Formats: sequence, structure tokens, C-alpha cells
Amino acid sequence: MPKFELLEPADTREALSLLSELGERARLLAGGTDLMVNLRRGRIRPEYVVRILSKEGLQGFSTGSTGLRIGAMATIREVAVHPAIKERFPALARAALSMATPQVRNRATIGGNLCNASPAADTAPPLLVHDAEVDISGAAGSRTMPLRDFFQGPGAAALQAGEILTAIRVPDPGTGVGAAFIKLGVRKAQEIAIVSVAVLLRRGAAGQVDEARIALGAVAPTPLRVPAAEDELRSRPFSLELAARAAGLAASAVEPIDDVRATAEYRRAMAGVLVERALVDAWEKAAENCEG
Amino acid sequence: MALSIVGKRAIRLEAPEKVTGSAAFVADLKLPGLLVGKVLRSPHPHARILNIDTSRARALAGVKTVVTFTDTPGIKYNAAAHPAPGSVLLRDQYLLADTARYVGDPVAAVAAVDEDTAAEALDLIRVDYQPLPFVLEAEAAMAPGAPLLHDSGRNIVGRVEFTLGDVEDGFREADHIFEHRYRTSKVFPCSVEPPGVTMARADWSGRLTVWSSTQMPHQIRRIVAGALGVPQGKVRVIKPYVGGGFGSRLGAVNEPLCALLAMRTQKPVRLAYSIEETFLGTESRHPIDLTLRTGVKADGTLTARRLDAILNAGAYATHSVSFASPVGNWFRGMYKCPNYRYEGIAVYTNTSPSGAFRGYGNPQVNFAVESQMDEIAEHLGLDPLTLREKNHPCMGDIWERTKWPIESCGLEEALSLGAAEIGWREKRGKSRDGGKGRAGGGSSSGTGDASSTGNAVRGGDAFRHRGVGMAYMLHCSCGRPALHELSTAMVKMNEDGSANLLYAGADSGQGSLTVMAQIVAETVGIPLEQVQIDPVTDTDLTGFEVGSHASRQIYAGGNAVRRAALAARHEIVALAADIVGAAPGDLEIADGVIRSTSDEQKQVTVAEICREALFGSRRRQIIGMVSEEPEGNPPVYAAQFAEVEVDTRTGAVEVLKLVAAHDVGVAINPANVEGQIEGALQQGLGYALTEEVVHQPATGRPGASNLGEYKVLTAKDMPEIKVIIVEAASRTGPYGAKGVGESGLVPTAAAIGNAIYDAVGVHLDSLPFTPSRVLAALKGEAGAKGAVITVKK
Amino acid sequence: MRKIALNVNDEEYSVEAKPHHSLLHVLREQLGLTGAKEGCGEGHCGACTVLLDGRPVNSCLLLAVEAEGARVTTIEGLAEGGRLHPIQEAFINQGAVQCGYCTPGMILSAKALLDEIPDPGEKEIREAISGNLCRCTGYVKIVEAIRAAGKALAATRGA
Ligand SMILES: Cc1cc2nc3c(=O)[nH]c(=O)nc-3n(C[C@H](O)[C@H](O)[C@H](O)COP(=O)(O)OP(=O)(O)OC[C@H]3O[C@@H](n4cnc5c(N)ncnc54)[C@H](O)[C@@H]3O)c2cc1C
Ligand code: FES
Ligand code: FES
Repeated sequence: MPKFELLEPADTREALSLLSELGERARLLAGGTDLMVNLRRGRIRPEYVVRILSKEGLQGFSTGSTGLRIGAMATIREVAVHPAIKERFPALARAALSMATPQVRNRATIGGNLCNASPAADTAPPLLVHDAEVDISGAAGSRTMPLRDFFQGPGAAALQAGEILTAIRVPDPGTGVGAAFIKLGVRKAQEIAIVSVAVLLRRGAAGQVDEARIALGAVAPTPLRVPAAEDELRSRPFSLELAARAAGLAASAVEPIDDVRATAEYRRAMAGVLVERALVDAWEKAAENCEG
Repeated sequence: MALSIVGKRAIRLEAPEKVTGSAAFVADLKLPGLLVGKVLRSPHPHARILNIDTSRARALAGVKTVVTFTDTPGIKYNAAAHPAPGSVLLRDQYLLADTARYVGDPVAAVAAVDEDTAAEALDLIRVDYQPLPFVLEAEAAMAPGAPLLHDSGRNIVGRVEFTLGDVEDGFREADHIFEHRYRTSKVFPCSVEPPGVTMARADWSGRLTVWSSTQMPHQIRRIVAGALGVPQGKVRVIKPYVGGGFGSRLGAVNEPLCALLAMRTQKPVRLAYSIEETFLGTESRHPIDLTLRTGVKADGTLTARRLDAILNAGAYATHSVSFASPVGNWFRGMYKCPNYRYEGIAVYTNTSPSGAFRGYGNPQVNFAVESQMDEIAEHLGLDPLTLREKNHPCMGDIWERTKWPIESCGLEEALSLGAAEIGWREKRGKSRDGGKGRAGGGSSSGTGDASSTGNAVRGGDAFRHRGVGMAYMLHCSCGRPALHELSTAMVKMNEDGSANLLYAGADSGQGSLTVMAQIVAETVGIPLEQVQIDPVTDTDLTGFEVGSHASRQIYAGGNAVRRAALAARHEIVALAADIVGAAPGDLEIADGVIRSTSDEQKQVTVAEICREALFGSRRRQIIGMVSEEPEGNPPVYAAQFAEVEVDTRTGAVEVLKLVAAHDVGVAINPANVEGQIEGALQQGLGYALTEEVVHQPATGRPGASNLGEYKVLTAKDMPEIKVIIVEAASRTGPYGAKGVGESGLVPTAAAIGNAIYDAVGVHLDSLPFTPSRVLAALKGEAGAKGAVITVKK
Repeated sequence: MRKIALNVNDEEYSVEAKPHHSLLHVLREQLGLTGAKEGCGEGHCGACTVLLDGRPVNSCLLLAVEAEGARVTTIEGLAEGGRLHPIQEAFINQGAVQCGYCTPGMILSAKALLDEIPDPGEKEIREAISGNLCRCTGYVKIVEAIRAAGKALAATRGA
């Protein structure tokens, strides 16, 4: 493990002033499950690692009238088992549970998963279909932005040097909504997705699609939504043919690459298959939520 | 007399040490002043080393030595170095490279006071490389004009040919000829304790002690001495607990290099490779390109078999000169056929050296042969089981691998029990009836398991097809007659009637220690608790032992142990006969008591006899000692069956059940036998589905260098497993035992491939069966399948 | 160097450690607790698993300083008063131990599971040990051992 100096500010405020002063020379430590591996492999060599002693305001969950606030340093395990998430945002709970291993989930944070900005980050697609927003704080103040705008490229999040992601806000999905998450990998644990898909559908009284949102991971430089496929679905009566059409549009919207895990061609094809399956799944769940 | 200890599920002697974390592996050992070693590796697949500047590294406080090629003894060595009678091992490697021949080739090493300092020192070494053209594929490396790796003028490491009869005649007699080309992947043993962890100390009296996590302590002693040019007698190798072997420690990994650092510093040094280094620079299973041509009569009788194998040896010879032989031996031993021809060529490439991994060539050969047999059965309209029953060698036949008569054969029973367990009759061939497929169960799609591949397919079950497949295999119990198989054992009887077994066993987790104790207890006639064996093996304290390879430990080592115990028993009985006044032939020993079979009154304990021997009139300890090779090499038979479900839209294959029916001779410890097979199945399943390292064409770097990218299966990935033990006792093995260590994974890939065929009607010719490969094969895409020529006359 | 106060197996330790060193490193090299093993150093193999306030974590991915203020349990802390923990007993009796390199981590993952779900099903067991790779056993006898340990623990609790 390459050497670094450990700084341990008491709280977020102190951390922000340290981070803004040190800029690129420092890295914030959350769960460390990405950071430690990258340090060990020599992919990054910060002079300072910043560990916040009191994580007040960065942890925990709070439900309000408009939705759910998740502290950026909530662990993946907490996200996976939280009752409100399992009930209101089951695709997110599923995605969290599909990640890594029990040991990693006990340490890894949802904020770390997003800030690491991997195209394959598992919590990204479900949060994207829920139109999540992120709260960001810097020495100069705070701002909120849609998660859609947060991912800028592989490993690049829309954070200025010295800024911290403090929370994720997920609006309440309302009734008649069904969401699904599917991850394709070759193992059932410890898998980084070859392709991942999250879908959210709202079912109208007449059996039409009132709202459709589709997000994919590992098929482009960032996790992404596919508006053309979503538009195809909106206001139309749901059918398997419609799902297949939308899936085709999703597949042509992605920009996958070849890597050791899969070829671009396979990824594109699977983007279609998974979107189609997730649409069917989400539609059935939406039906259950209408009745219930 | 009935056996009382052999055949029992004896609990492992050393398990309590392991469950408490007390068992010490090499990295757990500490010596005062222990230094930490680290290795600098080439980032280039092929490069001339123009200059290495180590001055800054040497100047760093805490650095005790920095070594490069010029600091090595300049002796070429071979890291595998298992002596076959009459063969000379190709020595083509220096301890540190003169020229970098693969990404990961060690070019310099340091020893420093701690890990941080050693790492910093590596950063300070400057190497000037002149990159050279490189070649990664064996076939390309054979082509004229290919970059040459060594001075030998060509990239051929070794070539082996075997023939019987006349294959061309045989093909003329055939009604059908099948030709396929199969490719196998580069896979790693991946013991959880990474290979390449050594501690060495050169003391001031000129001795070199090496603590090695090895499968072959005595071989390591010879390799280390040879590579460093020190007298063998000065080297002592100690093997503490070892965290899994599987071939990864069959030769030297980094023992000579660690010893070099210790000699240079005159201080103890620990050198432990990281997981990245495992994939960069330790040995893998050989990727082999197999062209298989088989002639067969309409009734399934084989008339001619021909295999041309091209082995990717990697950058150094290690095992590869001889490795083409076992490949051919597995091939010719599998089926009866009057005409065969085998040619195997091992070829240098700019990839990490290939070597041993459980099965030693058989997994590759078996995948090709058994995949093709499935196609042959299909074309001839025969049940795959029938085709095997018709052609496999059995009692009364000569095993072509050894040219010796077969000692015992339990295959028929394995086939019928295995077939019943998987439901062969009900399931095989049902998927392809009417081309519709046997749809998968709806329940598996509703598991709610987000990460399982292709789930949540409600309404999508039409895309899930189930099938069953099988493959058979023949494996060995040791390496005879090709390899030297000496074992030495000493059974020392103590005055309390307990025994110490002094034997350089190389239990790396398989439990051979416990089985050896069972053999001693059974043979002498004392309770198991009265047998002691130190799990730590020390070449100073034990006689020569080849080590743990080729499934030999129980068959070959156990033979010597049993014979040593017998010798001790003879002495005990002889003395007891004198003391109780009975004929030796009249005495029996059980549970530590010697009794006359004709006169109940005549009895004495083993303890009394041992005391009498030591302190009574004899004044001589009862010791049984034997140093010998086993007499034979009985073949081990198995049949494995798989049930799979294939998702035809994603190409994902889910294995639902694996049945492994193995003829192991006599199972001295059935729990251990099951454990060996169950563990091997995980590796076989990984070979079939997920494990693979591809060196990247542009950079020559391995495509996987951690356990995220290299996909060892987790507990969640394992299907239902059923192990069936069939016992066809061997004539020459201890208590009828045969080998079990390796065979569990040999037929697994073919069984799964054949089940995929049953499910969706395509045969796959390349390992592993990744979703994208399966999908490409389903679409009938070019390149998904090698040239298949089925000549029907 | 930084002074670190650790509570390991209910004992208080005070060590001078480098802040960039992992908990695994400090346990093994400074406290002499070598039961936790290094298999990969990257979170995949689980050989380094320890419990942090009862939950399994990879001690290779944790800075030692992060364990301050928490209860650390290593395999050395399981046997009490010279008696093995029922999970350890079950691993021995079911033949779940082969090379033993994965065993300490595996047992700690099992303990965390059984402390939370006393009588787990096979699926829960396999999920709980999915971060512990074993290359020897195919997990068959490990799963059996954890199930047997669950039953044994339930019996002692019931009694
Ligand atoms: C064995 C293993 C398996 C894994 N499997 C998966 C998987 O299946 N799916 C998946 O998506 N990921 C996986 N990961 C990656 C990783 O665990 C996750 O991305 C995790 O959520 C990262 O969170 P963390 O808290 O550990 O981040 P850290 O490692 O602490 O931080 C990651 C990066 O983000 C920055 N950062 C963290 N939090 C903040 C914040 N609040 N504000 C600003 N910057 C911040 C850090 O400075 C750092 O650069 C795996 C990792 C391992 C080791
Ligand atoms: S050593 Fe920590 S997970 Fe492998
Ligand atoms: S027992 Fe060897 S790795 Fe599990």
C-alpha cells in the first residue's frame, strides 16, 4: 500500500475546508472499497487521504412528504435492507443486494458508488430511473443537481475539487408504479455488470404507459437514460411488441465498448434483451401496485 | 480380519489447528530481523534489457539488497524439474531475466526492512527496455519468421509422437470419420493461499533453510540447490501448512529467488507474491489447440484415432518439454482402438509459463475427446452411454497409457449409478424432440435474486432450455512408468505403544496426512489417536519423497507408509510371539492388543511389546522403514453427468446439477474422497463456464489479474452436487486405493458442454462456455465453431 | 506513526501504527494475530474477514485506524475457555476444512450469519459466504457445517 498522510477532520465543515485547500492532492475516504484497491494497485497516488470523524449529516435515511433522503455515507447494506427502500424503491434495494459481497456491502457507501463514477456502478441505473438528485457541498456552499448530470465520463463525476456529495434525494414514485433491475454477469456474486438495466413504468387506468424511464449501466462511458426508448413507450398501451420495440431503440442508443468481460456487440444485444425483460417485469409489478 | 479404521470417515487430525487460526502457513512465520522481498517485473511481453539502474534503490534507507540478472549465479535452471527416468529437463531460465520474455518476467528483486521500503525501492529502479516483436499464440509462434524467444533457433520446446497400428488403414476401414478442432483456455489453480510465498534464511554456518508452501519439498531442495549452485546437502526445505495446491506449487515458484535474497543479505527474507503476480507470473494450465480425427464403424466401433495437439508453453519450458507426453497418454489410454497416432508440440510464446494444474493435460484432452464422442453418438444414433461402454478399456485389457494390464474397473457401475441419479433415461434427448426444447422450470425465474443471470424472465421461459449431458474419464494413480515415484516412510514405535510416522508427505489440504495415519493405525493395529504425524515436513528429518503430484499421494506414498507400518508390525508380532509363547502366524493385533487366535489367554499389549523392545532384553526400538516405488499405476475411472439450463437470448448457462460417479479403488476415508471430488468440481465448473485469462493482443498483458476479473466460482454459483463413490479395489494400492486427487475435474467441462448440446442443439468447441460464445454458437456464427468435417462414406 | 487503540477479541491494544496500514496488516504483523489471512488484498477472497461490531468486513480494505472504537473479532477470539465454538466444532466434524486457508474467514462469516439468523436456509448460507472463496471444498461440506452449527446453537439456546 503506497504511503499517504491521513487527515482526520472532525466533521464535514472542517473536511470541506481541508479538501478545498488541498484540491487534487487529497482524496476523501468513504467505505474505502474502491479507494483502497486503487491505492494498492497504484492507480491513484494522493498525498492525503481524508477521513471524516463525525459523519453526522452524511449518514442515515429520512423520509419526507416528497421522498427519501439517503446520506451519501449510508452503506450499501443499509440501502439493501432498509424497509422504506425495499418497499418504495425495490429496484434500488435489489441493485444494492446484487453488489459485491456481504463484507464489501458492510463498508461500501452509496455515495462512493456514485462518486467513483464507474459506468457499471450498480446503484446508478435504479437511481436514474427514480429521477434522483444529489446534494453537493463545497467550501463555497451547497448545490443540488439531477443525478443524470452527475456522471461525466468513466471515473469522472461532476464534483469540483474539494466538493463532497452529501446526500441523494429520491422522489416518491407514487402509485401504479413498477420498477425492475436486472444485472447480467457470469457469476451470481462478486460480479461487475456486463450490462445492467433499471426500468420504471407507471401504469395508467386504461392499461397505457403513463410514464416510462429506462437506464442502463456498463454500456456507455456513463450510466445513462435512453429517452428515445422511453418516448416510444409513453402513452401507448403496453404490449410485448411495444416492449420489444422500445428495447430495440434502447439497444441502438447505447455506446458500449469491447473489454475483457464482453464485446461491444454482445453488450448492445444484451442491452436490448435485458430492457425487454425488465419492461415486462416492471409492468407486472406496476399492475400489482395498482391493485394494492 | 475386517478393517476397522480404513474406510472410516476419520476426522482430520489437523482440523482443530485450522479452525482456530493456529495452523501456521509460511506468511504466518516470523524470524527476528525478517526482511521483505519484492520483485520488479517487465511491463513488456518481449524486450531487450539495455540497462538497469539500481543506484537510487540501493541508496534508499532500509534497503538491504537489490539484485538483477548480473547478480544471479548465471545458471540456467528449470522451475519444474521433476526427473523422469532418462529425460533431461530443458534449462532455459535464469533467476532474473536477461531478456524480458513475457509481461511479468522478473527483472530485479529487492530485500528491505519492511514492505513499504521494498515497494519504494522498486519504484526507484530504472530499466531501459528495447521492446522486441512478440507472439502470443502457439500457432503463430510456429510460423516461419515468428519472433524467437530463445537462442535455440525455433520456438518448439518439445515434440512427442505415439503410434499404434496404422491410422490411415484405420480411417479406410471406418464408416464415418469425424474431425474437429477444439481450443482450451489458460486457467490458473488459484489456491486461496497464493502460490509464491517463501521465507529463506542463509545462516553463518553455510546452511540455507527454505520455508516453502510447496507440494514437493524434496524437489524444491534440488531445484534451489541447482539454481543457486550450492551443494544440495546444504539446503533444507521446510513445508509448513499449505493453503491448497492443485499444481500451483508443483515446481519452484519463487523459492530460489527468495533464497538468493537471503544469501545476499545473510538475513531471513520473506517473499510473498501478490494476487496480481499470481496471474502475471505463476504457472497456469496449458492452453491447447487440439485437432481430433476419429474413424468409427456404423456400430460405434472405433477404427482409428488421431490427435494433433499444439500446446502453448509460455515463455519458459518448465514442464512443457515432457508435457506433450501425458497429453498423448491420456488420449491413447481413453479408448480401445487398434490404430492411433498422436503428435504433440509444445511451443514458446510471450506469455507466462504454462505448467501444472490438476489433471495435467487430461482436462484439455478429455474436453476434446468427450465432446466429439457426444457428436459421434448423435450421428450414429447411439446412446452416448452405449458408445462409452463399447469402447472403454476394462479388465482384461492393456491400458495404453502404461502398457500394463488394467487392475480394476468400476466404470460400468459408475455409469449406471450416475445415469440413474441425473435421470438420464427420462431427460436425455427430450429437449430436441420436435426442436422445441424442454422448457426450464418457471420457479427459477422468480427467485428474486437480482444478480442471477437472466432472471426475471416472466413470460420468457420459452427461452430457457434444459438438457443433460455426460462424459467419462480415465485418470492415473501416479506417474509410472513415465515418472519416478519414490516414497520413503518410517514408522517408529514408542514405548507407550504409539507410533510416529516420519514421512515427507505434502498435504496441501487434501487430507493425506489423516489418511496416512489411518493406514498406519490399521496396519499396525493401534487406535488412530495413537499415530502422530507432524504436518510440517522437513527434508532434513525425512527420507526422499517425490511429493504431491499426479494423484499419487495415497497410492504411491500410502504404499510406502503401509509397507513401513507392516515392517513395524512384523517386529511387534515376532517379539510378542516370543513373549506369549505363540506362533507369529497365530497372532492378531487390534486396538493396541495382540491376541492369539487359538488361545484367548495369550495376549499382550502393543505398548508392553514396545517397552520390552526398548528397555528389555533387546534394547532396540521397533522401527519399520521402507523406501520404494509402488508396483503399478491403476487407472481411475469416472463418469460425470450434468443438467443445465440455457438462456437462448443471453447465452447464459446455468448448471443445475452435477453428478460425479468415481471409481476410486477403496476409499480409505470417504469424507476426504468426497471432499476431493466436490472441490475439483468447482474448478471443473469454472473451467467450463467462467475461468479464462486471455493475453491482450495489443499489450501482451493478461486480461485478468485479480479475482474480480478471474472468476473463481462462489458458493452462490455452485449447483446441486452429488458424489457417488464406486469401489473397484486395485491390486497394488494400499488397501486397494487408487488416485482421487485430480480426477474430479477432468470430465466436467465436456459433461456440461454435452448437456448444452442436449438443451439447445449446438456443440461448443472452445472453453469456457461464456454467454457470448454460447450465443454466437446458437446463431451459427462463423468462428463460433471450428471446422467440422463429417465425412460419411 | 499514529497511536491506535484497538479492541480485539475483548482485549484492549494500543499500537503505534502507520496510518496507511490496513487492519489486516496491523493484526498480523503487529498484534501477532495471524488467523486472518491475506489471499488477495482486494476484497475478493474473504480470507481476511474479521467481524467489526459483529459484522463481517474485509480487514485488507480497512485502515487500521477505522477500527478504532469498534469491537474487532478475529478467529482467535472464538474459542472460549479452552472450548471450541460450535461453528468450529461443526467445521471439524462435517469435513468442511481442507487446506484451512479460507477457514478462519469462512467461520467468521458464518458466525455473523448465525448471530443474525439462527436457523438459516441454504440460500441464506450461500449468500452469507459469497464473499469467501474456497478452492478446496466446492463449499458442499462448508454449507453442511454451517447448517449443522445453526442446529447445534439452536439446541443449546433451547435448552
Ligand atoms: C470485491 C469488490 C466487489 C465490488 N463489486 C461491486 C459491484 O458489484 N458493483 C458496484 O457497483 N461496485 C462494486 N465494487 C466497487 C465499490 O465497492 C463500490 O463502488 C462502492 O460503493 C464504493 O463505495 P466506498 O464507500 O467504498 O467508496 P470509496 O472507496 O471510499 O470511495 C470511492 C471514490 O469516491 C470518492 N468519494 C466517496 N464518497 C464520496 C463523497 N461522499 N463525496 C465525494 N467523493 C466521495 C472517494 O474519494 C473515492 O475517490 C466492488 C468493490 C470490491 C472491492
Ligand atoms: S485478502 Fe482481503 S479479501 Fe482477499
Ligand atoms: S479449505 Fe482450502 S480454500 Fe477453503
